Amino acid sequence: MLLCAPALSAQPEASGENWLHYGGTEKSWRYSSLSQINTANVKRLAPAWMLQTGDPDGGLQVTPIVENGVMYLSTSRNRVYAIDAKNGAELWQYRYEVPKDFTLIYGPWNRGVAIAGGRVFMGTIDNHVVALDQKTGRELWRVQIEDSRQCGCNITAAPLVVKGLVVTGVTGGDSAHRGYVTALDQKTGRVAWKFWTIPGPGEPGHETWAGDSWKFGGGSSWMTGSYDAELGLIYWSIGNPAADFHGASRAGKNLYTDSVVALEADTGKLRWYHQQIPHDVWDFDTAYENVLLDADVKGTRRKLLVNVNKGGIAFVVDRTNGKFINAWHVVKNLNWVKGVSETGELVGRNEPEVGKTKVLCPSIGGGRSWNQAAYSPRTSLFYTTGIEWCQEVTAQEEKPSEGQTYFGGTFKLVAPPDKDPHGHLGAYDPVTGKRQWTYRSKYPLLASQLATAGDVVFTGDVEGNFFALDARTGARLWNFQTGSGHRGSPIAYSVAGRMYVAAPTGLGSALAGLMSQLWPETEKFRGGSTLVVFALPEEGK
Amino acid sequence: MRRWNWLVAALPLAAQTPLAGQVAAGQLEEGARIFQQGCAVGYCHGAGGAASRGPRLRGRTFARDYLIRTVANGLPGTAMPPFKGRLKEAEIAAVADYVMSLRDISESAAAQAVVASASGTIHTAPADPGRELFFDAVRGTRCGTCHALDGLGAAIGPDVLKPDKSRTPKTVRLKTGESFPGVVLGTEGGSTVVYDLTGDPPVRRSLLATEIAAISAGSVWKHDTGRGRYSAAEMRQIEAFLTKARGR
Ligand code: HEC
Repeated sequence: MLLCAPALSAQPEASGENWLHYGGTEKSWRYSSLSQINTANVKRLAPAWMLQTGDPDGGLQVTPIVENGVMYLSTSRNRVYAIDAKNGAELWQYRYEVPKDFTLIYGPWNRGVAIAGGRVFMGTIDNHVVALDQKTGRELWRVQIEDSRQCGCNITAAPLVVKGLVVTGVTGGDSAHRGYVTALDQKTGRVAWKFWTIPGPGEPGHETWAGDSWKFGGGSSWMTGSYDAELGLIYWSIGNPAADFHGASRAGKNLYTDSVVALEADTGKLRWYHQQIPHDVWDFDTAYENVLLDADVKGTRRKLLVNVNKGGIAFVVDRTNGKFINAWHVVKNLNWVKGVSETGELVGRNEPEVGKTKVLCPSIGGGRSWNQAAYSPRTSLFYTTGIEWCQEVTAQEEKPSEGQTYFGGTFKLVAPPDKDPHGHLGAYDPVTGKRQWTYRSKYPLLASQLATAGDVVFTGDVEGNFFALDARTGARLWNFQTGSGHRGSPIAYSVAGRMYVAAPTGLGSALAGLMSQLWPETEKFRGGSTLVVFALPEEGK
Repeated sequence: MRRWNWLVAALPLAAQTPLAGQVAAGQLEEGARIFQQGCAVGYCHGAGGAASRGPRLRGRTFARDYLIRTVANGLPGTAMPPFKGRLKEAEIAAVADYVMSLRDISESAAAQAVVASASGTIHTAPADPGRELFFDAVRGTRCGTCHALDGLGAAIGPDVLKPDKSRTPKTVRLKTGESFPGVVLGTEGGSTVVYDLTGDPPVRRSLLATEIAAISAGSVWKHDTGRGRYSAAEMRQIEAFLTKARGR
């Protein structure tokens, strides 16, 4: 008996043999119920196979998907590979035709595919969604969500598959553009519903935008949502308003930017929203993952949603109604607000100013990047990264030009006041934010976390180390140098009773470039794009 | 807001400007402003060319004509867009000269330039109201959803500038019983490629011969599905724009 804890594998929030969704399951825990690899034996972990994609532009940022021994992996420029998950043998590959004249600030990278009903779905570099035959990789349908040359937007995130629909967001929050979330019919590709992240004339919330600013207000939806099947609600995080640093032309709260929205899966109708940052002028997107977990709040079991935003604050809300529960910080260096009140309002805003340079912390790179947190039901701990860095921001007035960048200012990264810029991974109580342990890293940690029932937390750093931490103490138990930095999301799965941990390696992305402003040596860090898959050595071989 | 771009237009043309180092101070200042508004922003080259997602430009040596070419044409396949059309020739030259001046610029000088140039705007071509409506992003579906023009939009329907019957919708029937109006594009890798016009935006479907029951002339599709979203007055503006475009 290799797979322990069968009771836990029955948990719908945990991944088991398969890794079926971007966040592991629809609840986005990034937690595997497999425990063959555990704190006692993890030091014996060794590579089982590797896949070199040969496409290093932007690094390998993917979360692989695994179903019944087959892995589905997308790379930069929308190539998809189906691979035998026990030995790395290629079953099929698909190459999306990237338009020759393509240029866009939201890079060529892709963060993963979704599978359902015998189809593989992917959003593309030029804002299409494609559906492939899961067995052969043959393209079934393709639909252009919007002309990326016009909107300055595209799709880099993995889609979410829910109830016969494939739901996707879009980048473009730093461009003069109006964001949306789109749901397509899995079979035909036809649009089932579209949720505009900025309400149009006559819709509630439209009054939170001055003049015509709603037309160019950003509100991208650039990461993957979560889903609570019992409540029938899709949770999507909406990014910053544009222009990022200059808010004068968009007076108002700017709904639904910097909000978590709960949409009815069947219709896309808004059930509730929770806005974390009204009228954001820092580019502190509420864009990241929504982790759906249940925990005790003042002695009562509650259905919660935890969302860490780019400003470095974790917001905890009741996911049945969006009511604020608590907020806690994932970084020490945070001066853009003094804090969050007991009712969830920001207190003491410290805003960028036109023609004046201000030091604001964290930097635009975020108190954390989009790489995702993990939650373990065994430790009841929430594992998330944080980055201690600041920036000098100068706001400027810019004129929106459709689909072009619309930042409203410039920035330059600087060290925090204590002259100690660094990254860290912490283990927190998800409700109170009480920190159990901290793992310190010289540079920002830009890979997602994977928690397992073996009480191991896996992640990688930008120097190429893939490592295992004890989920209860943070002690580093094992390390393997993979040859290039980590910007993707590791997963766990099993085939024929053997547990594997797959680590996408290959540094790239906007942040990897940004880092060099503070750590010049990182400019020379090697890129790459290789999936390295680890397992325990097989007995007697 | 200062409309500095009109000022730049009065400056000598790119080809006539002297080499970097002898560049007039005013020219460098203009270059710095353009850089600040169009190149330093966001995840691009960073303030003073300090690097971001785009590469560092400060402290590096470039040939001037290479810079001019790259700014004008962009680097296809990367995040670097072409600025031809968004910037005038003289402005592109000014920004190239500014980038060349970053070769041995100090941190503090770069920071000063950032504050000094915190006003102004990258100019854009004056808009035609009919063209704006044709590509009106605020409507989920617009003419550009199905018609390509000036390098924008999708070529699902025909060329709107000349008579073109190649995209007349037909009726596609599948063996599953499903039937839909479709623009048939032809075959590709053994599949018949069809734009399914049932919903907006239309979906490009690849169908195996074994999936298709029949494709027949005529369909239930009405062009109104696209046009109905515009008022009569708006349609007149669009038609005026198309008439002008056809005469180009
Ligand atoms: C949903 C897709 C779609 C949308 C939206 C759409 N069209 Fe069309 N259009 C077509 C198709 C398909 C045809 C071909 C019809 C035929 O040949 O019977 C067509 C034909 C035309 C033609 C005739 C071209 C010729 O050469 O015969 C013109 C002009 C035209 N469309 C203009 C427009 C304008 C203007 C709009 C916006 C108000 C628009 N279309 C919106 C799909 C669309």
